[in-house]
Amino acid sequence: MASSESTTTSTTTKVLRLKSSDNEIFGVEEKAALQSETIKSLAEDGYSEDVIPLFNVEKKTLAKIVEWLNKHASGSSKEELKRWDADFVDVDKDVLYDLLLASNYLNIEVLLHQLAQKVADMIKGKKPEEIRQLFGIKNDFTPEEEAEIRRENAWAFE
Amino acid sequence: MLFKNNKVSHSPSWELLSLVTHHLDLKTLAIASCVSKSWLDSFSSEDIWQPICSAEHPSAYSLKDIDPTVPYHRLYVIAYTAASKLQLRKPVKPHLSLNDLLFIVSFVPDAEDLFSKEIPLPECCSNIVTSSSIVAEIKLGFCKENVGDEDSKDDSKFRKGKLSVAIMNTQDLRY
Repeated sequence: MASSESTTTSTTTKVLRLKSSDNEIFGVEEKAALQSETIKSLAEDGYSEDVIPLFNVEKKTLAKIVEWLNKHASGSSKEELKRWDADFVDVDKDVLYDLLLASNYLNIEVLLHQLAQKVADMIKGKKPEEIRQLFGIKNDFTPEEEAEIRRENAWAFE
Repeated sequence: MLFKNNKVSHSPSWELLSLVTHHLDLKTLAIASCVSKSWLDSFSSEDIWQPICSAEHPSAYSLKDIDPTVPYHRLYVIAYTAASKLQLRKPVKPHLSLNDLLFIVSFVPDAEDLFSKEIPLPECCSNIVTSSSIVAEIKLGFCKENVGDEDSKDDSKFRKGKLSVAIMNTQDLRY
């Protein structure tokens, strides 16, 4: 796991220290960390010598994000990254949601795009009943409301 | 924490859905709107459909001025339905296109038939006529201006009396 308590300051390559909402600190090379626009602007605001607090990201999610940041700064070939990314987003829905919200908060555009696409692909081509089942959603329409909304959107079911 | 049931998954929050919106095509947006009330709010919102409506169906977009209570996703459907009906309707086959008519006016006193053409086998009205024996004709009737001097061949002053256009079945009748 990429999660490691890091107290080292920069040696040859600068390391930024990211703190999760539950106070776990991750050391990430600056080059990798700055793929996040949020971290970038926090670093520019003078947090770079200190710990960068990320209040909206839990450690289990931040660990995955750091893993992604490191991989995407490692100079892997496009083909390898593609395979790696496919595996990376192949996770439980709750993890996927957390990653998606975190990548939005951290403003990591490429990752956000990949994760949103993954959720979108899960929705596409399914009937409302199938979507409810997949995402564990309760149908809270009354039968009348549902009939009305289905009629309104009938064009999409053709 | 220890016995967290992994099978119970939280349903996606509106915030999450809003991140996914731009990765969905329009039909999926409409279908996803039928899932639940919160999904309806997320995927049929004015924010999503206003730019779609304005880009794809500007004519419907402007209907908003007439009735601001009609949401944009419904305006889109109205325009979409109208457009797809137009696309589904087969173009009406021309009974007699203007291109088939050639108007030649030659001022020869004896010539009455200005135009006569057998129309190619029709497909549209074939329940009436099975073989192509339909002829379109245009006749121009002339009257001499000088009625009293009918034999005079030099009299070239004619005026148009009657123009008749006829489409008829030559098998059945001859005029």
